[in-house]
Amino acid sequence: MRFLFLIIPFLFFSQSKYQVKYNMLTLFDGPKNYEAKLLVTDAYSNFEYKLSDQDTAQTESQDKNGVFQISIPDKKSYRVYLNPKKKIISEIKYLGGATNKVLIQDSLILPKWTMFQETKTINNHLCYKATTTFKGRNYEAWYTLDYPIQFGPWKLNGLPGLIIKAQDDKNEVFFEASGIFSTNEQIDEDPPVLKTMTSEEYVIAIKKYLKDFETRIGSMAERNTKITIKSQYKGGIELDYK
Amino acid sequence: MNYLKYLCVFVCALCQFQSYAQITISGKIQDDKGKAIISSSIILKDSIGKFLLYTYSNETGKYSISVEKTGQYILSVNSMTFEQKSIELTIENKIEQKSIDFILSPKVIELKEIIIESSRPITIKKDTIVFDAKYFSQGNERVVEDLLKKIPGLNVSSDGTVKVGNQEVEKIMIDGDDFFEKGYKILTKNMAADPIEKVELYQHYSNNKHLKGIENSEKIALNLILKEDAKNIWFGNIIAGYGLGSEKRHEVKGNLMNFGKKNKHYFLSSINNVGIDGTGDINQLIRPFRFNEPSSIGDDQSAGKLLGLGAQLPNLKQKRIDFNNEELLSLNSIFTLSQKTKLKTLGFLNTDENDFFNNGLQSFSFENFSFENTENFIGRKTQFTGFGKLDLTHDISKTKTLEFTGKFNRTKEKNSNNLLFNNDLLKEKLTGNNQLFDQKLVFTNRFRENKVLLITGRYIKEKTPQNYGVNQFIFDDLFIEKANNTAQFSQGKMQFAGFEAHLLDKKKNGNLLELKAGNQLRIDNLDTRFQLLKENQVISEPLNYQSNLSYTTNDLYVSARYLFKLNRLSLSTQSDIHYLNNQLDNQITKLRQNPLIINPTLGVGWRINKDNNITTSYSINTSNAEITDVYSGFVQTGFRSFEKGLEAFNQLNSSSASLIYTYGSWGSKFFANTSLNYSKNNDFFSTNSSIAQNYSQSEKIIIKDSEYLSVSSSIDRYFKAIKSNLKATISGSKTNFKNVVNNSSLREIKNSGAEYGIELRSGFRGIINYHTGTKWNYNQVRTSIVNSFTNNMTFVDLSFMLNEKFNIEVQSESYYFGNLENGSNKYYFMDLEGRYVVKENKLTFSLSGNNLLNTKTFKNYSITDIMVSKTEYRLQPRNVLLKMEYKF
Repeated sequence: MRFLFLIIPFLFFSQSKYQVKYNMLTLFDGPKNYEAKLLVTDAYSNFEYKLSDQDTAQTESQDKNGVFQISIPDKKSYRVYLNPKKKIISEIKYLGGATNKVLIQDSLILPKWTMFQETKTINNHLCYKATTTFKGRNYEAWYTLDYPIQFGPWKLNGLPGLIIKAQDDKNEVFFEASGIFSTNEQIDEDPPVLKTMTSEEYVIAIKKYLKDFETRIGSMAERNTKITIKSQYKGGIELDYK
Repeated sequence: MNYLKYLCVFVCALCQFQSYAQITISGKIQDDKGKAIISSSIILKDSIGKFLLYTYSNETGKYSISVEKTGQYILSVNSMTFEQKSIELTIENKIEQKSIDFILSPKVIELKEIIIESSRPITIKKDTIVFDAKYFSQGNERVVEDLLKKIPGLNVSSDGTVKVGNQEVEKIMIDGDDFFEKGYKILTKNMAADPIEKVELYQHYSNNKHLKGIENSEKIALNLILKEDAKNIWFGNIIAGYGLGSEKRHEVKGNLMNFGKKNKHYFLSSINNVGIDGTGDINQLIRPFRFNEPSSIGDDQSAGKLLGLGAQLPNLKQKRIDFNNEELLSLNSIFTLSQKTKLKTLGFLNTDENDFFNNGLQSFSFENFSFENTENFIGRKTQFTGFGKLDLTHDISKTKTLEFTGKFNRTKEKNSNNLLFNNDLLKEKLTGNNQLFDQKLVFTNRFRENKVLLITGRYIKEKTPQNYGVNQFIFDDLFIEKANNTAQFSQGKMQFAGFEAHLLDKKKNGNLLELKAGNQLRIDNLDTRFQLLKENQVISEPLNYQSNLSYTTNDLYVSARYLFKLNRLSLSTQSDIHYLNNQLDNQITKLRQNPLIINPTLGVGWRINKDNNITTSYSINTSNAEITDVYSGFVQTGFRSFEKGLEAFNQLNSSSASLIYTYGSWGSKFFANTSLNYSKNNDFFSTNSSIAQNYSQSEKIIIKDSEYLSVSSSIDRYFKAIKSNLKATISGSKTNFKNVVNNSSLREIKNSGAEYGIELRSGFRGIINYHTGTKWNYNQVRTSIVNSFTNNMTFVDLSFMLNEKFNIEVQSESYYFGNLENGSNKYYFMDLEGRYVVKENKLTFSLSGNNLLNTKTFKNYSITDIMVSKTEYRLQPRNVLLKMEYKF
C-alpha cells in the first residue's frame, strides 16, 4: 500500500497537464464572448476558443420597417497548436462553412515582450506588467510567477509566467483568466492533418470568399430594398499577419 | 543561390560574434531523483530585484542565459510543480562561462479560480457592456454619431444606421428613456456628444426589462447615460424642400430636442403637400409596435366605421397618388419624478387635407341582366386630429414594476365630394368625429429568476359617430316616397374591459411554457337612422333601414403554450379554451348564448440536415362573430350601397394547415423555398345581394364549406460570373365559395390567380448597380361565365454612387393591363433622386424629380363575380423638389 502511494504522485508530477480557463472578448466585430481554454503540458500547448452558447443562436427577423436581419454567428471552435520544440505554431481556421477546415501553419514567431517593474495584485497573485506589439496590435499583459507557464492565451506566449489578463490598446481584444485546474483532457502535440496554408494565403482566400458572399447577398434583395452588407474581413485578432 | 549562401554565412558569423561578446550562464534543472525538469522558467534579476532576462529549460532540462554586464545578480528557477529556488551570483569577468545547476524539490500547487475585478474603459457584465465615453472620445466629436463611431464594436454606416457587428440596434435610449425606437437617427445625428458619460450596450434585449432572459430575444439596444451635471441644450435640425416649377410644392420638417438628466423633450413639426404622412415619424410613439409581446390585450379592439369615402387608391408609390396638405405639431416629454418613477407625455395636433380624383366605369352583368355605371369623382377630405398619451412607470422593487398608460384621441373628419353618377351630379357630405379613451395598467413581477407573472388590466371606450348625406335621391326603385335627398346618422360605440394574467416560465432546458388566463368583455352599440328627405323635411325613416342594437360578448379564457426542442425537431403546441357569453339586444328581442370553444394549434419544425428545413402547422379555429356581422337593418355604406348583418349569433368554424420547405439558407448560392397553405371554412359569411343600376343591397348569410389553397415558391440563384442574383417567383391561389345574387340559387364562384416573375440584381462593388425585373399577374373569376385578365409590371433601377458625398438613383417602371383598350393600357414612370452632402451631419442638398415622363393618369382594371370595373386616377404631374437639410 505504501508503495502505491509513492508511485501515484510521481506519475502525476511527470505528466502535469493543466487547463486554464479564459474569458475572451473581442469587440472589433460587435461584442463576442468566447469560451476559451488554454491546455498546457510541459512541452506544448493547445488554445481553444469558441463563441459562448448565448451568442451562437442563428436568427432571422423582420421589423416593421421591413428591415430584414439575419445573423449567422460563428459556431465553430478554433484551436491554436504551439510546439516550441518543433518551432511551429498552427491554427485551425475555416473558409466559409464549418466543414471547410484548413490549418494555418506559420513558423513560430513569439511576441517580443517588454518587461516592466510595475506590479499589481489580482486575487492574491502578484502580477507583473509586460507589453508587446504583435500581429498589428499593442498588447498589455499582466502575468504571475505563481504559475510559471510559458504558454499564454491565443498566441500570446513566451512570458515567464501565466497571463492573468491581457488586452490591446484599441480596447478590442480582452483575455482574462478565470481559473486554473489539472486536467485529463487530450492535449495534442501535433495538429491534425488538414489542408495547410500560411496566414498570408489564408487572408487572400477568406477575402475572396467574403467578396463572393457579399455580392451574392446584395443581389438577392427585393425592389426598393437597399442592402448594405459589410461582411468585410476585419482581420480578426490579427491585423497584421506577418 | 550564391548570394544566399554568403548571406547565411554572414548572419551566422554575426550571431557567433554577438554571443561571444556575452557572459553565458547555463546549467541543468533536475528534480531530487536526477530527472530533468522541463519548461521551468529561469529569471535573472539584478541585485535590487529588477527583472532583466528570462528563459525556459528545454526538453532535457537545460537552460542558457546571457548577460552583457558584470555585477551582482539573482538567478531564480520557477516551476509549476517544484519549489522555487534562487541564488545570488556575482559576475566579474567579461568572458566568463558560468555553469549553475539546480535541484528542485517537488511542491503541491494550489489550483483555483481566479477572480478579476474589471475596472476599465470597458466593463463587461452579463449581456451588458459599458463603455466609458471619456476613454474613447478624442475631443473632435460633435454629435452622438461621432462618438459611437469611436466605440469598438459599433459600426455607423454613412446613412447613420448604427450596427453592432452586422446587426442593427433596436433603439438608442437616453438614461433608459426612448422617443424614437428605430428612428434613432434623429437623435444620433443631432445631439451633441459631450453630455454623454457612458454608452451601454444591451445584448438579448427585451422591451420589458423583467422579461430579459425569459423571452427569446436577439435584439440589441444602446443606452446613453448622461453626465450628472449635463446641461440642458436645445438642438435639432430642419429640412426644407421647395418645388421648382409652376405648382407650389413644399416640405418643411423641424426637430427640436433637449435632453437633461431629469427631463427630456422632443418637439417635431412638419408641413408638406408632397404626399408624405408626417405622423409616420411618431407612429411608434402613438402605437408602439410590440408584435406578439405579452400584456397586449385590447390592442386589436377598435370600433369600426360604416362609411369611408374616396379611400381606394391604386397600388402606386404614395408620392404619385397622394394630393395632400398636411400640418403636424408634436410635443413629447419624459419627466423623471424620482429614481423609481417616470412620467412620459406625448401629444400631437395634425391637420390634413386630401384631394381625390377618379373616373370609374363599372360593367355589371349577371345572367341576362346587365348595365353600366359611370362614376366621376372629385372629393376632398379634411381631417383634424388631437392626440394625447401619458405613461407612468413605477418600479416597486427590483423585480416588480407597475406601468400605467392613458391615451386620448379625437379625430374630426369632413368629406365633401362631387360625384357625377351616370348623368346625375351628386353631392356627398360625410362628417365623422372619432373619440378614443384608453387606459391600461400592467403589473410585472419576476418572482423567480426564470419565472415572470404579468397582470394586465385595460379599459377602452371608442365612439365613431358619422353623419352622411347625399343631395339627390336615386332610390326610386327601393322606396315609394317622393324624396329628393337622403341622410344617415350613425352612432357606433365600443367599450372594452379586459383582464389577463400571463405566466412565462423558462424551463432549465431552455423551453418556454406560457400560461394565460383572463376575461375580456366587449360591449358594442350601433345606432343608425336612415332618412328620406324632401328639402330639409324628413318624410320617412324606412323601417328596415334603422338599427339600434347592443351586442355584448364576454370571453373567459385560458391558454397554454409550450415550445420545446428535441435535436432537429422543434415543437410548439398551443390550446385556447374560451367560454363565451354573447348577448344581442335589438330593443325588440334579447338573445343569449354560452358556447364553449377550444382552439388547438400544433406546429412542428424539422431540420432535416444543413440544407433542408420543413415547418408545418395545423390549427382548428372557431371565431366569434363581431358587431359588423350581427346587426339587423340595412345601413348605408356608400352612395348606392346598403349592407345588413345576420341578426343572430354564430361562431365560424375553420381549420387550416401550412407547410413550408426551405432549401439552403441566405448564405448559400442556391436558396429556394416553397410554401403551401390550405384552409377550409366549415361555415363562413357570404352575401345575398340584390343589385340594380342605382343600388346594391347585401345581407350576410352563412354558407357551408369554402376552401382556400395557395402555393408559392421562390428561387434565388447567384451567378458568380456576372456577380448578379437571379430571383424567380411563382405563386398561385384558388378560392371556392358561394353566394346569392338577385334571388338566384346558391351559385358557386371559383377565383384563381397566379403571379410569376423574374428579377436580376447586381451586387457590384463599384459605382454602378442595377436591378431589373418583370412580373405577370393573372386573375380569373369563374361563375357561369369566365372573366380573366393578365397584367404586367416591369422595372429597371439604376444607382450611381459617385463618391461618399454624391449619389444618384434612377427608377423606372412600366405597367401593362391586358384587358384595357389600346392607348390606355400602358403606363410608364421615371423618378430620379440626387443627393449631395456638403458637410457631413451639417448640411445636405438633394434634388428629386418625380414622374419625369409626366404621366397624368393611371387606369386600374379589376374583376369580381358580378362585374368588371375600370378606374382612372389622376396622378401628381411631373415635379422637381429641391431639398436642404440643416442641423443646428
